[in-house]
Amino acid sequence: MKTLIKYEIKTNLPIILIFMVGAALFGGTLFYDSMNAYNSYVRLGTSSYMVIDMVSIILHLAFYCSAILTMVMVFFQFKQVKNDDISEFILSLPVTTKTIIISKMMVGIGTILIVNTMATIFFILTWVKTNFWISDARALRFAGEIESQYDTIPAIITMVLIYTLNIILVYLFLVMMQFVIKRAGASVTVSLLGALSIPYILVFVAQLFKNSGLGNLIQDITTRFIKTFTFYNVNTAIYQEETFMGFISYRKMGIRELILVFGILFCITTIFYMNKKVGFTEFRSFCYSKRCDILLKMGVTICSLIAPFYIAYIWSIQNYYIYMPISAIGGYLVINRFIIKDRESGV
Amino acid sequence: MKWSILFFILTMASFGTYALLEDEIDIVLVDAHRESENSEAEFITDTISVETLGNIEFYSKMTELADVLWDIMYNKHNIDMTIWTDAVYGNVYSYFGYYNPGDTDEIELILQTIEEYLKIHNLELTVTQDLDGNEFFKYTDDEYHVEFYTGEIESLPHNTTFFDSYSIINRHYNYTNYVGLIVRPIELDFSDYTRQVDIEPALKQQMQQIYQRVSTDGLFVENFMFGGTRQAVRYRQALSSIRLNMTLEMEDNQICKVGIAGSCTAPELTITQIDMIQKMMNELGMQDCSTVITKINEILQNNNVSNYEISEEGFKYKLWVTGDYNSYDDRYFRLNIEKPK
Repeated sequence: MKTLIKYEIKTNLPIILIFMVGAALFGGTLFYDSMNAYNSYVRLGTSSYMVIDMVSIILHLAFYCSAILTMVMVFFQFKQVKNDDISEFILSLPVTTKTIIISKMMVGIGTILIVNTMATIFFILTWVKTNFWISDARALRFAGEIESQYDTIPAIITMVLIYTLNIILVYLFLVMMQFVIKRAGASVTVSLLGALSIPYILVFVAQLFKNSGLGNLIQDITTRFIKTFTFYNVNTAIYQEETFMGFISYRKMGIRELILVFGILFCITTIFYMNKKVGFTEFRSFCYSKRCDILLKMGVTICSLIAPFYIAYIWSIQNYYIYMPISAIGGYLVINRFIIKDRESGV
Repeated sequence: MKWSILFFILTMASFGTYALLEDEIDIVLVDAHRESENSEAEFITDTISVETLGNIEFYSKMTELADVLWDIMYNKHNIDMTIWTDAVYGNVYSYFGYYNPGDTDEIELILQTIEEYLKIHNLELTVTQDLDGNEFFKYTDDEYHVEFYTGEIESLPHNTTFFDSYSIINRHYNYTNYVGLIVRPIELDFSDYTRQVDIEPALKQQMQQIYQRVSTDGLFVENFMFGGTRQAVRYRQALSSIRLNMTLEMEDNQICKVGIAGSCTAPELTITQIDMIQKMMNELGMQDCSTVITKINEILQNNNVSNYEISEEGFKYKLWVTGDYNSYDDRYFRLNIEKPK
């Protein structure tokens, strides 16, 4: 296991370093912004400035950057063990696939945790360094007292914790999908497109039933899907309680984090189940089974069917539904051809 | 396998619960003054104790207004209260704006929203006249009473509330047309309201209802925001009086905050406002309120004092004055009364 972990760290070192540089950059941005705020308008006591607000903005941006990096990391982690490119080193080790997957996950999740801890330290240091000045400015402001209640270290830690849960879920989802799609690169791509396809389809369905109860419901579901899984709109208003438990018990906000935790547990258990059932090399087709291939084809066909709706929206085309069957057939032919070709190249 | 299924069900169940929960918005703040850069709504978020509010959705543009109106009409969100600032005509939920035809399609959005709503609910607009003789559209359904006004500003009689408001705004803008929109829950019937009579008792009763509703829902709105016209000042006077009376019934550790902002703080209306504060404090038996009033006057005269604080036995007054009182865009006045903790 130790050797495996060392090997994982070694092969993923560039990505781990990029993660760390990113954390330092984002932490530095916060520090710079806080100092700048102090030097410009906070000093005057006329505008609001909260470190936690900037942390929220930074983490929003960091989420997308980290998601991309996570994709790259998962690709490199699994490239070595998938059908098409098995590492000689790993083959030579007397370990089970379970041990391999555990070591990979330990390195992946460990990297996320270490990097996020680094970022949290940066954020807290910034808070400590600037809070004294900001408090002075707040003393002049009408709402200063209220801002002080929000802008706390526990609030920062809680926000980073939620962000961490989001990123871990992204990572584990990508790992899980490695057991569904044969090739590492294709798996990452399909995972990304698959995740995007959910709001993509829901928005269309909501539009179909627009101005009705069902339309509103689907719209709500779409918004909450995006909110839950993309660290969207996690704002300071939810960090009213000083403690984590207080935060959890506050209103309904804890449920978003509960979804993430259950999602993570689902991914972990599925990974182990799939590892037992499929492993890294038991792929019979593009996906792990032919039935799964059919599901993929169906998904692509549905998404292609909807495509004219979005194209018409962008270019204001009337009667877009005429093009929907053509688009659906086109989509089906493309994915079908792709799968057949992949099967023919048969590794 | 069974664990995967279990966690999948739990994930879906918790997501389903989350998706089906009422929206987290508790209070919608709409800054009806689309021209205002230094918005009154910003003032509200400063003034209201956020602790008691929960999440705030904040709208300040006409395009957003159409959306929020739609939501309110459908009661999609579990909104406990909507505060629309600059309540022209003294209504709690109102919009009054100015525009030049052809310049913007935002007004169209409002119209479309109303039209669609009417169509779905099979409602018809009726044309009626307000007390100034202006024609306006009106409809009422089970939940909401909506009035919609539009026309040329010049067609407004100069003694109307609309014109009052316009005269202030037109210092900076040259709009030719106006649009007025009033949306209120049917339970808050302002039909007794007439500009010519003293409506305070009726208003007090109605605002008590708001208070009851809000406090029943576990929220306490610690701010009143009214502006625009002399009529609005009258409303504010009534409401603030009620508010302060309510304050006395509050628990010791709660804080009362009274905020006043908007066009009502224009220099020409400030005197009324000071009178109002004087009256409120007298009603509450604050004998030493003269100190505060004197200070307000001093600050107004000096015109540019950033803040002032004075402590009195029993109550702590914080008085904040920001900006230049002669400038439309940066003119607000704050009085914060805190009960001692």
